[in-house]
Amino acid sequence: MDLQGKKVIAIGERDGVQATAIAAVARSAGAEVLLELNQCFV
Amino acid sequence: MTSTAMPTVRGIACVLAHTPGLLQYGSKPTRELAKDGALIANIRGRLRSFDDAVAYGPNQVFIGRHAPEWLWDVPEPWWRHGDEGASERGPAGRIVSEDAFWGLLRMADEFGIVDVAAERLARSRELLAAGGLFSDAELARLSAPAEKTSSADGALTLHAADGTAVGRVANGYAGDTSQTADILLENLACKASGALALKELLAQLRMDPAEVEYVLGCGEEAVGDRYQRGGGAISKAMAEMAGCTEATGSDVKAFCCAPVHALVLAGALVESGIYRNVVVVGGGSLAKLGMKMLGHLSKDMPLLEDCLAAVAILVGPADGTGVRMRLDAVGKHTVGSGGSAGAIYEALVARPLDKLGLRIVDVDRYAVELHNPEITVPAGSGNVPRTNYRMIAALAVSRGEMKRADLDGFERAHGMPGFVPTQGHIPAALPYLAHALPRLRDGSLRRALFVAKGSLFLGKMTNMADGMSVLLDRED
Amino acid sequence: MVILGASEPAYVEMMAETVTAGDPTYTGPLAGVSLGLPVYHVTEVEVRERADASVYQDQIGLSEVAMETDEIWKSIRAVRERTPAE
Repeated sequence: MDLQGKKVIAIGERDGVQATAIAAVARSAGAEVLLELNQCFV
Repeated sequence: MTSTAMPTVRGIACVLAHTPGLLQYGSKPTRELAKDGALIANIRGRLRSFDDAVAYGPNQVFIGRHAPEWLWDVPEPWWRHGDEGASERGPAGRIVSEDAFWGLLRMADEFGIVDVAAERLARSRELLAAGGLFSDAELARLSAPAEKTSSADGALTLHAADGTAVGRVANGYAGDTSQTADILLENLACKASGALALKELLAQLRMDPAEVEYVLGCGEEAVGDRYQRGGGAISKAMAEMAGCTEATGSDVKAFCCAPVHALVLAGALVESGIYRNVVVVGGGSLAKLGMKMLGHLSKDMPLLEDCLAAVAILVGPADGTGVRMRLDAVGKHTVGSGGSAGAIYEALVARPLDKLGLRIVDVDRYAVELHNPEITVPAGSGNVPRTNYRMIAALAVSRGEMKRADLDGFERAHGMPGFVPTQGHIPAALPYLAHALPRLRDGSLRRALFVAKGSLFLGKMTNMADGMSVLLDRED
Repeated sequence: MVILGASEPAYVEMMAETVTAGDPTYTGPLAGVSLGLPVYHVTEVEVRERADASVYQDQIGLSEVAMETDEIWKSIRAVRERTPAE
């Protein structure tokens, strides 16, 4: 599975991995991040 | 800064108002009921009695009758195994019933917004008088009917847990969407519960209300009108209701991280000599009642989010107990810190401890976001304290201070089970002060780190989270 | 594709279902929408292998140690097998 050029939606969680961190990782793999969503359950 | 200049925490009050009848006005229940009105029958069928809410283990811990660690040995589910020796009054606070809370709402209302049936108010008056926190003069409003304002239309009906109508809540300014009855009810519930916590604190410390000089609010409500939706200063309104004639106040707004910001700011006001007695108050959150109810309903559980929770904390100069607020090592998450868990815990835990030459394992107890897992886990929201403890443990492992094999055990060794209702800012570390203070004073605890985080991204002004931490320790 | 960061295995499974098959009982911005998108957790090898190693270590390093990754991977792989992406 290649991330290069793929379009990614990053759904993070405040107490898990946040969306900005997921996005940074995805971009470092050459993906394009379309949407960053953070969730907080409490 | 010399040790004698460090401020201390002098006391904390933790109160619960059991308000099952108000659960339907929580944010999630309101939206679900709008989709399916018939749900009200399911909701009412799953509300707890006052006795059950009092006997609930986590609630007994909240008011200080048991240590948080006591919960490790209570059989699960906790809601089925109530504490047989339970009491409404505890060393750190009290639990009041819905019957009493109608009166508190009415007392909090200066504008004729809340009307409650006379016989309910009479019952509230009896209960509040017996509770010993309010004088006859303060309770006088419960003998008189509400003075109706121009927008006296009953926009929201107040119901007791069994569904009986007990009163109504009117809108504020006509046509003002930031003063609709639901918003005013949320704010009055916050004010009433916060004032109760403040009254409880003053009684506990045998303190003259006039000694309080400044009140810092740390809740997430928005008090205002159409031109200033978040004007705030509910803290001053609470101070007035609690008889603190020499106090003014303001509110600290930082989502659920606000309580730790407020505690640090209170410490700074005291340490600078501007004020001697500063109280941090967090009122309860009506919006969070019934937040996880779908998970509870689907698992045939009672609806556990039936209590407004409020705290009040007195910060003052050193008092001879040796307990210190280490303002020389406050942990803060900055704009530049970044959003990775590593960066967050580096900022909140590693950096302040490094400043003091301490290892992560040198802190006896970490108070994190202490959400009751029995509320969150059945709804698929995980165990928030456990997740936080695993992160701190992982940081210790990465710093070579601990073995990977000891990561799972960190929660027991340096943490605690969550015991606080899911009321946003209220679980944010500070309720542990009720347990930490006596132990710091008697020396059985040397250091406790209070760590909170805030989900700023929810307001759509930034994608960032926030965090702050402060250490309490003993002088020797 | 969707990359998730939640730490709770049960929640990861629910979110994964939501973005692939879609499920009207779950609420949130993607409720009831069958996206049919491939979904991964940020800690999975498929993501880790493709990312820059130092970026991955900085952003995910600590989370990886703290999370119950075995449970998370089991949950999300089960969802992918049940509902292959379109």
